[in-house]
Amino acid sequence: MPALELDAVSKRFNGRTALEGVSFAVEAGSAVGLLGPNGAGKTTALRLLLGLARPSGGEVRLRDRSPAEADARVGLGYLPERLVLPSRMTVAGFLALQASLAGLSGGDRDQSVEEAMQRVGVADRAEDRLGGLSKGLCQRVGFAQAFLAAPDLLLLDEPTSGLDPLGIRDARDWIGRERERGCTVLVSSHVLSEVERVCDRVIILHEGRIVGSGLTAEIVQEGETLEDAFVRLVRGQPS
Amino acid sequence: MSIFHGFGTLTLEAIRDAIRRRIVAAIAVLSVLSLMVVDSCSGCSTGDVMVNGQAQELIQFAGYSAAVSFVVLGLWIITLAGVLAADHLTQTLEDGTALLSLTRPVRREIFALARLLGTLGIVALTGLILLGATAFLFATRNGLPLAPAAVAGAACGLGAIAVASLAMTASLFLPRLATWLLVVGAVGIIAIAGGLGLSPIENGGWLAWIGSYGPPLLHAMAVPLALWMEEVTLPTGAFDLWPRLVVWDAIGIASLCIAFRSREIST
Repeated sequence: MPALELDAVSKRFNGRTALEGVSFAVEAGSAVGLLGPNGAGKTTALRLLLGLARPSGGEVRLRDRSPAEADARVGLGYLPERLVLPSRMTVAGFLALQASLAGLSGGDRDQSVEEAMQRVGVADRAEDRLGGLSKGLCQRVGFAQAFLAAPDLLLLDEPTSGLDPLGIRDARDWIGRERERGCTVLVSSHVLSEVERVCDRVIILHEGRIVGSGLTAEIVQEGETLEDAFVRLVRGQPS
Repeated sequence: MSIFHGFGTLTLEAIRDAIRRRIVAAIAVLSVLSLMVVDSCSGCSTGDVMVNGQAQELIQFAGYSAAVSFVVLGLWIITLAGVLAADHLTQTLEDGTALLSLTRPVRREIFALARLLGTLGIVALTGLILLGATAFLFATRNGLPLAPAAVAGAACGLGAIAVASLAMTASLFLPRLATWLLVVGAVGIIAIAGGLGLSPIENGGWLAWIGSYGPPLLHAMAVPLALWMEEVTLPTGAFDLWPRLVVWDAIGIASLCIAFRSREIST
């Protein structure tokens, strides 16, 4: 059973087609990169997988269930592209709230929050208000909330946005450790080099359609980088 | 995760969120000002007033004064519930702070109801202080019984639930200012329709329809308070008002759940 699946999915809004006949599946335990230029439909695909939007056609499944069902989202960690944190809450308070909503309580919740803060390096800022943190630190808190309750599925939308080079390296390590734990990872990103390092498969979207997918080694032809392959596949499509 | 665990967590956060917002301070100031007016009204117990050429003691009007004050404050509490509810759910959607919570294993309905309860928690506290103090002042100064105020207060609470849930539903489709105007206009029209229904004036048309089938916001508070007004018999019995209020509460809550469930959330 795939961890997540889109089957002939279309999504239209305001007279615009964001996705058209998109089908792909991500097997449990794998790491897949969702690539595409701006407006390709990557974030729309993630919204559908999170149950935040409904497909205009086709079917979306999360562990063989509709993502609109709350139970289908158990064990799911998500980091949005535009991370907005409640500015008046403290780091620890926010993470405790998210851990509670993820189903943890009491000592388990406190332990998960503490571990997540230690892991992303914000433990010394636990009592700071989120509104006072730099963009990089907010992104670290974003990672921390995604790692709460040991998720078995991570959906990361532009995860290295706002991170400095050290933060980017840390993020790669965090994702790598989640993979080692058996977590399924779907990363939507513009940073092709990061995707190449983290993921073993890629799906390339352009104007709402899949223009390439498979193992990175299959997509990249001899003498090409992933960036070259990306440009070839995207530019090769009539616009 | 149990539904109650998620609901409790989100409700507590919704109340904290309401407290953190400046509007609560504004409500506190307005409530204190309202209490000053009530203090002044309930203190009018000495001196005479001429009615049809006959001198009457002001104490004889205390019941009327108390009932009118209580109903006006009750309508203010109900309007406040609608105005706060118009903002309390959509604000989190607009600023994006709801996004992460909605991707957790939490049902949409639970999230919306928690936001509603967060609003009502603040309104209940304001109402308890304001209406409680009003009833207490009239009881101690004018010797009016407290029981009618308790019943009218409960009716105010049910009215606040109906208006807040309908306002929160409307806020999912309308801009904030339009929702606020809708709340103020609707409560005003319903109050006028209710007032006309209680008066001996014959009225028909849509106002009469609202008076008969709309949420009985004014009726349900005024009828129990008739005990404060000697020689006044209000034409509508209390018992058909309560089921109507409960039905409007159910309509409001159901429409909120359905509307929020079908709402698409942007990231």
